[in-house]
Amino acid sequence: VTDLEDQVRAALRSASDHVEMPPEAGREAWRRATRRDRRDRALTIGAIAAVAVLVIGILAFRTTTERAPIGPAPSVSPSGPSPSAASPSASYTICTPRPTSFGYRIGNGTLQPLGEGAAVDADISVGQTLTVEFAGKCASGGLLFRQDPTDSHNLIPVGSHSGSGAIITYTPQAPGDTALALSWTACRGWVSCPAPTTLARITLHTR
Amino acid sequence: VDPTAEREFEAFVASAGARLLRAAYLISGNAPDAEDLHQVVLERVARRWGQISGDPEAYARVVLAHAATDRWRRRRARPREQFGEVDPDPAVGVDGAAAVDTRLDVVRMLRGLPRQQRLVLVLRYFYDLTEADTASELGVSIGTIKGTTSRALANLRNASTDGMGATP
Repeated sequence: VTDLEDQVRAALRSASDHVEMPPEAGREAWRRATRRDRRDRALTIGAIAAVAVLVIGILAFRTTTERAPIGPAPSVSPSGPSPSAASPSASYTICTPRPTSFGYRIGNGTLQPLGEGAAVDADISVGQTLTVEFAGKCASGGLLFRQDPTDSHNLIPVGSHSGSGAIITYTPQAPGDTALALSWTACRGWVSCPAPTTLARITLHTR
Repeated sequence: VDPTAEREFEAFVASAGARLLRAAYLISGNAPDAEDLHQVVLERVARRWGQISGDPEAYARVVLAHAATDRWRRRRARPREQFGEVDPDPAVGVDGAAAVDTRLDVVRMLRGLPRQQRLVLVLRYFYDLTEADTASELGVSIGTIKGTTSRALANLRNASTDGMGATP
């Protein structure tokens, strides 16, 4: 220990010996700490409650919107005319308050919507191409099926897509490629039906 | 609220609070800042009172070091008026004038030191901590404490030779 260290030690003590602590300092600090603890606890509980309410709200919302059926049945218009060799393009509009799917009949160069949940039993000739262009922000799903040549009741999916505005081209390759279904998935949260939305533009191409 | 814990805490403040306030004064260099620092430290210690293992004063010193460092960092961007003149003690009469001058010199020299050196000096020579304990409380190596102490003493020696030498 050097003289300097001793001097520093003594100087530090004498330099601070005039500083007096208020007698209530401990009690005051304890009171403030308690108050702050209570406030922090209340804030934490409030934050947890807010998050819980938010999560419950989101879950309830999702459950509500995903539960089917909700609201009236979807409507499709027009029911005709369908695309044909003479008039190969047709647009269908749909107003649906819930996720659903539609069947279409394809035969003799025409395509007709069969309505919701209808059996798909149709025929499209080899050499023709069917293009399905989904439109509208809520047209977000599509499925194409091919009838199993060995089992007419069995539909084999041959294509699918998701996302709006996507295009599916369906080209039958063999006799028996007869079935087409379009799936319509409503937007999550889309429980009202403010205006009909174009489901798809369906075009029949004759090669 | 646990009345036993409150009584224990108040007993702790009664025994160690004044020392803590003096250390805060030496570290901050003026009474208002020291009182603020002291209250911050006591409040933080009070909030952790039931969870402190070991010597509560050692814990309070660690809190003091962190609080002082936080305060310095916050003030880095601000004007430095808080490092202005040392406040004289209004309670001291004419007879105590020489003692006050000496005290002010010490505090001025301390405030001329870099902050880390000031902190180390207070822990080493005001609290009489060993180098190992100082290193442990500040979370640095013993070598760092040795080097910092040595530089601080050299700075103090120069400052006392030159009048008020070093700059913060």
